[in-house]
Amino acid sequence: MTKEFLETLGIVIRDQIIMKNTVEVKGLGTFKPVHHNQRQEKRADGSNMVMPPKDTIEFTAEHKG
Amino acid sequence: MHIDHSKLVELLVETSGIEKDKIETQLTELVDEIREAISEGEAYEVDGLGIFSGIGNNMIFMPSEDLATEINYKYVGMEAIKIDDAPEKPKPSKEKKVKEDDDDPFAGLLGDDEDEPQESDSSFELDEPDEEEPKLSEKKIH
Repeated sequence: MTKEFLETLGIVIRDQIIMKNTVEVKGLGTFKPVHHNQRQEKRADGSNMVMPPKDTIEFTAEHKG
Repeated sequence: MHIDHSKLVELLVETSGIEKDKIETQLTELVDEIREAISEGEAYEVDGLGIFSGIGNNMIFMPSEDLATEINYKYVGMEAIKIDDAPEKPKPSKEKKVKEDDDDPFAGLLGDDEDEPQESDSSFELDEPDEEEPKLSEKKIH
């Protein structure tokens, strides 16, 4: 594997996730963008916090049957 | 939109300029290496993408710090806000209540004079009719 290939793979998956697209890698699994809305959170010390929204990546592995 | 394997290969060819056959070969090689590492109980890191590891029979993926930051570029500068310091709403005082009554534009217009005796203007005096009986002239007939 070349370094150029690995860099390109990272860039392509990142760009597609930003565009809210799911990306399937055959034999490995699927990368899916997940959006989390702004939410209120109560911490252990009793303080209330408003957490900003964020996007994460959910990975589902492909199971070979 | 779903990017399947063939579309992913197409995007990799467009972005890198590498031939399609070489892309497919390297992608297969990468997947095999990741699976092999996980089957041996090891984690596999792909620079710029993240770490693949296994827990039991499941494969998990943790995105790299750079990737996690880049997909959240829209929310840059937004931080958690503590909301406990919000000022309490002041309780309305009795003095304020009195003041509100003073400002009532309809105060005194309706029902305020109920306690005061009212002079009745409804007394009527009937006019006595002027009854003048017609006077009959007496004529003597001689």
